Amino acid sequence: MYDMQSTINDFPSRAHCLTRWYGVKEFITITPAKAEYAITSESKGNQLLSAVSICLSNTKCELPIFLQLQQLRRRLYVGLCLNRNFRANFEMVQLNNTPSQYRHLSGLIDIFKSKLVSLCCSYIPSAEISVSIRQTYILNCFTYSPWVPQEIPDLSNYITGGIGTSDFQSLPFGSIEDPITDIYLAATWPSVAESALVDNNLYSDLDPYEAPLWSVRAVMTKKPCLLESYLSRFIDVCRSVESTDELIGFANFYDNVEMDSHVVQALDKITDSSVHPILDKGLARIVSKATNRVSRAGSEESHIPSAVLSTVMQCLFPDSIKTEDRSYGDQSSSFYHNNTATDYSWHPINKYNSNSSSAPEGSLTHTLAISLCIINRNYGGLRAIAHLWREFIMELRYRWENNIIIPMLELEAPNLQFSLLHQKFQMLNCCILQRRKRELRSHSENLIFKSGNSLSYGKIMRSMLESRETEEEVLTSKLNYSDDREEESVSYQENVKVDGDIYVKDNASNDRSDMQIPIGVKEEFNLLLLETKTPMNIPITQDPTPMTEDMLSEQAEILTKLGTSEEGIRIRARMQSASLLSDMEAFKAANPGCILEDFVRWYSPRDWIPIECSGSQENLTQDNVSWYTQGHLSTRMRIPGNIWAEVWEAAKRSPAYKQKRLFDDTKEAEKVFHYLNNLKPSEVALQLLSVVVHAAIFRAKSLDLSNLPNVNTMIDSIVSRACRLSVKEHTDLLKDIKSIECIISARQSLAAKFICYEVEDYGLGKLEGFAGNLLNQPEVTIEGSGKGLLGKIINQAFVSSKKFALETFNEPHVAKQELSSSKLGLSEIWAQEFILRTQLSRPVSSSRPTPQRLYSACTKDEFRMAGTFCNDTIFQ
Amino acid sequence: MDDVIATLKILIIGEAGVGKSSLLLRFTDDQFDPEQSATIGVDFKIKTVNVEGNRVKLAIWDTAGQERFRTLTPSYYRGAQGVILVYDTSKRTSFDKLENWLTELRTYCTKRDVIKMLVGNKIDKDQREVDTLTGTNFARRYQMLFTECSAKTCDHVQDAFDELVHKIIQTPGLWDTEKSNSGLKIGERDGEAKASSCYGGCSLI
Repeated sequence: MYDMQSTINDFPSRAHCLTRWYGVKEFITITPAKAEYAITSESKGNQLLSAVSICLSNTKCELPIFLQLQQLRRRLYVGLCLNRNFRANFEMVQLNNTPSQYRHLSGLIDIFKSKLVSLCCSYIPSAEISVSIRQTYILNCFTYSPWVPQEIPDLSNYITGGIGTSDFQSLPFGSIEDPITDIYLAATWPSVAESALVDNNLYSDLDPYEAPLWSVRAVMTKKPCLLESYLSRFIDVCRSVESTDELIGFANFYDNVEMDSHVVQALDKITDSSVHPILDKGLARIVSKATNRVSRAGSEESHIPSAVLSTVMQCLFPDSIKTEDRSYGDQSSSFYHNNTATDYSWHPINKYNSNSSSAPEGSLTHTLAISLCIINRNYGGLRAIAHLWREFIMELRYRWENNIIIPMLELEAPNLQFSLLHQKFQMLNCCILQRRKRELRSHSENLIFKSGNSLSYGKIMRSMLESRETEEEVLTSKLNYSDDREEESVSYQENVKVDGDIYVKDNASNDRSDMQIPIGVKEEFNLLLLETKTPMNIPITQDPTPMTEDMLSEQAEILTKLGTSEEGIRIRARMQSASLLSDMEAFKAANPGCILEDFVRWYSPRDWIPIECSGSQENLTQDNVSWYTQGHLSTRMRIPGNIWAEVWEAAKRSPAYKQKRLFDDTKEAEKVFHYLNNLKPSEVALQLLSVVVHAAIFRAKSLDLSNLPNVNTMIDSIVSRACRLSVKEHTDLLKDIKSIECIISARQSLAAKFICYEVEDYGLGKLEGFAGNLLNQPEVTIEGSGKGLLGKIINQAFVSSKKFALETFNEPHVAKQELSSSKLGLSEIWAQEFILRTQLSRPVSSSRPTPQRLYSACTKDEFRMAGTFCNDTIFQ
Repeated sequence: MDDVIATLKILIIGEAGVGKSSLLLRFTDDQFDPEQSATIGVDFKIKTVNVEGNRVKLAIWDTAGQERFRTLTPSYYRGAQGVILVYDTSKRTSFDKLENWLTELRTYCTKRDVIKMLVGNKIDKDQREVDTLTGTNFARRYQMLFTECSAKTCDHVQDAFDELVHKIIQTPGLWDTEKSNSGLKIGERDGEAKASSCYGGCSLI
């Protein structure tokens, strides 16, 4: 009830229209469900109103109830409010034109007073009326700061196509049209006495520049945005069903592949790849170019312009555009060299969610996702995606067949944090690396075989240290290692070194038919073998098998399927004993004459119980090795037929390099290719969706987000939700991304609108803060109103907009005249609102005084008056 | 089995020979095998338990403690809701290595709020090298649940698992991520404007 008296609800910046008109905060409305049911007859309205009255008194409801009358678009509401003491009537008038006498304050005061007289004969006309006034001006012509949505596309660079896509490294961002349509400026005089202001048809005190309160509001509409459109098109792809073959034909592709592999094979035969790596790479490179051209010619009519395609491919495989005289492998290292560390804490997505299955920024997967996204929107949708995907797989295959490391990927076992596709690419790299090592080893074997076979064993042993170095040098130079890839090459060399080492030893041992020579030694351990009392050697073992997420879950499923029965447990243990067996075999090879106890002391030291040991295990680190030889195996290792003993029995004496490979690179690579080839474009898109969303989020984050706390919260919420989602959920996510895009664009637009005026005194940062506030808050109060610095800037905007309007209508002389005074920016009032308030004892003079209120608003095409009149229901 | 509300993945880790498999065997089958063989790779057992009237299925993965096997196990950390970190109260070294295990846990666990429990096993042994207070303090420092037990004598084994499962169930979002559509939607309340059939929240007059 007393809401209507408080001035807090005067001119709310964001409220229901009834709050605006009647000043009430809580209310119930009754409106016709459909336009046809509109209550057009007055008697029906009155009937309903009395029903409301009965209802209110029966229910003791103290909330006002409003009824909507007449055509719905007129938004004409009348209402009633009852409580124990008072009754309030809400009445309204709405006209299309403003009668001239009600355009100004004095006219309104007259009508308010006459209404009060008619309601109550005891009315004393001298009662003080308080007035609140607001004038609103609209700025919607921003000629002096036109909206430049994006950097203007470089026309010479024809391949980029759409607006805002300068390359394939980042997603375009921003609104295509100006998201800010209008800026409202309101000049407000809050609660003044009626006598303090004069406003009639001849003269007015109401000069907006003198108004005590200025506030600004920006109207933002959601216009189509670039990022949003790219993303939504990409999500559409996820819903498609066609396979790659259906989209761009089956034969075409396989012809090319066949061609490719034919030529490469032929060349492989001509050139001994192990002897002339440089030549080989060079030739293969030429071949690749040729085949690429063939493939491109084959699919020319299709989808992506070849120039675009080659740009994209260069983006994805930047190493392939380098000069011919260096081999592929050289440049590939530049990316992973910096990122070889498995520590992903640097990676921003970790801060939010390690489970979002994205891919690191700047990685191949990341770039691929962005490229597909752009290609999809600009160069023919699904078919273009299928086309690029196929080209991409071909390039991968080319690299696999020619042992060229795939660039922009960390050289490590597949990182399970990332998207499965990313893991697959990493897996492929593991395979390539493994194969390179293998071929390098066989190559080194050849070398040694040629040079060392005739030498005696002793000589080999002696010369080994030096020859190892030189041999490495040879190999290194052949592979053309550059300096910047030290990290990888070091580990690489190590392997070569030790493997070469093994070979020499092995070779020699065969010559002497002596089984006591250790083979495949990595380093010495500070223990003596129990039986031979010679130092224990740690063998070189096979690396753990790299696995991708799907392989792991497959394996886990197999293990789970075995159940929990005794038998199941045994089979499970046996299945997993492959690496144990391999290690045991390598150990046996490295330690002639060793026994299981020796192995256990290295492999599972806690299963070796030293006899004198009274628990002080610090001795472990001491060099007193003989002391440690007294002891026995733990109980569990001594059980007859336990799996460790069993495997030990079965283990042959065989160094790691001679063993069956635990990781079959050829098989695994083919599996990866099989997987990639069978992916439909929609599946590719689905897998990359979270990568794209991630890219989008970071695109937004890369912009200046200060003063936009809402956006930051929204981004955080998106990040927390962006975790292995379905297509549907991504669609929801997209809405939020669009909002973010709009807000950021709007902020840019706002800042641009005001920035061209004299802002030196005000400061750029403050202005940007103001722009941010405009978006965060429904209405921003201008410090110092029209006289403040910001007020002046705003006025400038109005002035120039008006100048433009006048110039366009060929009235430059008028413009000059009018604009000689900078004050004239605000001349045309868009809307004027008044609120008149007083207290009155109704219905009789002995009643308690109750609030009476009249609201009036006039714009060009509407006039509305809303009155609230209360009377006392007890003292009457 | 239809009334199982959730399947929880629990991982048991710790140095070799601290009694991980024995602990598991005691919990699932209430048995103790002094000749429990050393685990190779990973093994697992399943048990359905009652938590506040709800049936919860536990898939408990037992891992090998040997250094060399650790290359296999990281993958099994994925998606685990609970981790039991075991040490041997009669072997100081097994306690000293806990830091390493915690590092591994941090590296490989995919769920950030995974519930960790520290268990000191083999309290039946006379020769104690790690006292209860040391264990408690360590657990507190790393925000872990803590208990001491003996798989051999069955002391506190059941309690340990119960506590862990309870804690997991009580942690929102840890096991029910698929079901709960968490998070308030922040955005424009554009519904309001349309519903009120007027200029809406933003309108001027």
